[in-house]
Amino acid sequence: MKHTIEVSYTYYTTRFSISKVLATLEEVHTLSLDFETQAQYSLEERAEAKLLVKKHQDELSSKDLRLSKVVANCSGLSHPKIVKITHVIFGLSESEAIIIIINDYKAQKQVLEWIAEYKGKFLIHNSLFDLKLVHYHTGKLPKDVEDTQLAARCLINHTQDWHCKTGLKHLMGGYYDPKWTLIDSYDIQDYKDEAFLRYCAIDGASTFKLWEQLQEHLKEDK
Amino acid sequence: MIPLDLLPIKPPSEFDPGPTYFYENVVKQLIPDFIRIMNSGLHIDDEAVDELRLVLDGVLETVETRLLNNQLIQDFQANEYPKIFAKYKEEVEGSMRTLAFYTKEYNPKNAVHRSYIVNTRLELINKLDLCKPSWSAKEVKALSGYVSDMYIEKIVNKTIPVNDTIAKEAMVRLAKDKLDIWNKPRLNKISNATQETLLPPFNPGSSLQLSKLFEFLKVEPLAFSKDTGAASWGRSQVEEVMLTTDDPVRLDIYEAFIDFSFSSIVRKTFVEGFDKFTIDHLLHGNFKLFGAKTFRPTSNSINLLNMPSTRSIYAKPLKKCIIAPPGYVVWTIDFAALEDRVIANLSGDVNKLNVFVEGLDGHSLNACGYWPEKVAKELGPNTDNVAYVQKFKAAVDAGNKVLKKIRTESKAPTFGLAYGAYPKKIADTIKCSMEVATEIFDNYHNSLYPGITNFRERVIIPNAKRDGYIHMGLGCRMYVDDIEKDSRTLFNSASQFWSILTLIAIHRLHNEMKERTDIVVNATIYDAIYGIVEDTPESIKWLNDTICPIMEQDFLENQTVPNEANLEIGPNWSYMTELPHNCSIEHIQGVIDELRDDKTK
Repeated sequence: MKHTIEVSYTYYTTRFSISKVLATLEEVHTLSLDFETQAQYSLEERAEAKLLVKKHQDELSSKDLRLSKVVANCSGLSHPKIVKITHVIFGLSESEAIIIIINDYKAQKQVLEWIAEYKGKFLIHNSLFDLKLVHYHTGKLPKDVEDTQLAARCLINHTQDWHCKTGLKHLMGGYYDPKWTLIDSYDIQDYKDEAFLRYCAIDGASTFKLWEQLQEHLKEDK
Repeated sequence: MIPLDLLPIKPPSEFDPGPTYFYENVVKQLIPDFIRIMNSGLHIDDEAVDELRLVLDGVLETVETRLLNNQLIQDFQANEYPKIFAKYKEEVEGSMRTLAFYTKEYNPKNAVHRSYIVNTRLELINKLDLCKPSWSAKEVKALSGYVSDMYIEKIVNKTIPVNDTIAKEAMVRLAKDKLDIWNKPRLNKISNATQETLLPPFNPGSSLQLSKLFEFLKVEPLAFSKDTGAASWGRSQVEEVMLTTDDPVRLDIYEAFIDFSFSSIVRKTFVEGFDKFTIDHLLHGNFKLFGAKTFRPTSNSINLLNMPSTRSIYAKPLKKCIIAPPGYVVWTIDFAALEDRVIANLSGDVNKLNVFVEGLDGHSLNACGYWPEKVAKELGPNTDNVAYVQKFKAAVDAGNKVLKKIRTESKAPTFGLAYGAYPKKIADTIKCSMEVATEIFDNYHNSLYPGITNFRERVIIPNAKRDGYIHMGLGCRMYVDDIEKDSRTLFNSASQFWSILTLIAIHRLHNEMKERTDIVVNATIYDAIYGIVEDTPESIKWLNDTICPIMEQDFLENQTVPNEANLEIGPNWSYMTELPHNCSIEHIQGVIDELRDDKTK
């Protein structure tokens, strides 16, 4: 049985503390990066829009119907225009992470600008999702990015789909607290919820761990 | 180094730089391109979407009417009705109750029991005129004084025993009335049931009903569900069955099914998708790089890969929804027959190469190969294949009905054979004997395209056996456990992988564009790239002069058949005008003027 890796984390919420921690991270040459996101619209707004679409669609103009459908279907995975970032996670190693809790647009802008300008290497699992947010809000992309999902896929691509699953939890679930793989709701209200922060921290740390493992295979291949 | 600089490269079977090389030099490089594509978004015309909605509603109504009026569907429904009715009758009868259910002991305190026993007694003493539906205790007391009956008096005093005969009779009467109230509407339901009320119209969206219908029509299933093992009737199966009949009544059903299938896809994938994911007139889909094992990207919200083919009735109204914003035109560039060119180059098959090098008509080539004896009766012996196929095509064009028929018949098995179909599948597709199907199969693999067969049998399969994977190109591998089971996937992937040339071209274009903002790439579907460009001849000329050479660069060292691609521009995805390579500013200005003049497009 694999040894379960304990992950420690520190979180930051004020813009002053965020500035300070980002300044220290500038010196780190490799960081894993992950975002937690939520729909811009609240659960109530989405429920109301769903109801409108379901029960009153004939009364709505096609413009209002379209808008209602956009709101009803909005989630943390929607386009950056209608998504808010709630947590930015930097993995420092396989067992340590820093979490920045985003409370307002200014903090979000500050962190995203920092990410776009970071000189070191970012390790991201499914970078298209995270970098889409960076690019949308800043118009820029960080210089050095490794996508652990794509790298893994290059190594294990197979005729049978079940052989080439590359979800982070699928690949790394065995190394960390089993509870990590069970979280399925991202619509949390309390951004400082301990269980959710732990989940975020493992996301960051496990990406780091995955990259280390991939390095061995990639080097072998070279 | 950018991915295009890696080309031309040695054939995958000769040079495998490995997955690290592929990840570092190709995959990683494409990430920024896909982010730019996703954030650009597709411009959507809301009015055109509403028009499409109306078109779909119209088609679905037509499908409903066509099926309702079709004699075979009516026969099927009539055949189904007795079974449905029997099941319904059984269900309704199962819900009916018995007398015992309602028969209770007499309770002197119960007002309903009191009324029933009073009326029963009055009937016995011939005082029927005094009976009434309900008797209060006070009324019974008054009645007792009026009729001077000991029994009524006992009712008032509540001294009637439960086993009293009149009390029992009263309770049976009450039970019968209650039973009647419960069972009568149910019996009415059964007697009033008709085919119209009980049997819903045929639903082409129900896999169960489709399965039953084809069984009724005595059409053998062509595919089975992996999960349930039940017959599966998807659009492709219906299309195959269509080739086997000339009966207009059956053809009407099959066409209606196909229309319904496309309508459902277009409605679910596109119309619903446009509504859900378009923000401020921009549709931002999600792409997944390396979404398919052949490395082809996949997409969702919306899935652009589901776009109906040009022949579909929905292609035009759907493509009309994707437009250029003011001051721009949309552009697209598509590799011409990329998969065929790739397999020709990788295998070196003479006939496949000649389709491109000599410009042979593919269907004529296949017809001459599948049925050499039939063709020889018209054209004599085949001594020079290129000249023979050209002669065949010329004869078809000149009106030779026999050869025209042979050429048409060659189309049905070709698609399956190209993707590894065996004789059984060919026999099912074109409804011929196994002997004929085997002959076509053998001719296809041994006489017509022996180079491709050789490529599969002597390159792909042995390499997979030796390495446990195939190298598709540029270091991208596909591992395999069961080579026999997955041989088709391996073979098809070897050519489909090179769809990556589309992505490499996007990357190169982005690089060439540097700071330009007049050109945007906003989608890629299979071997095509889509975007918008400012409607100035200078911008369009730059795009045309830049993208065509990128797309047409050789991907293999010593490539025999070159890639071909032409830029097209238009006001929306449905109306495009092709631009010749290196065409002049004046020519482009002419096309722009024409597009501006014709607002109806």
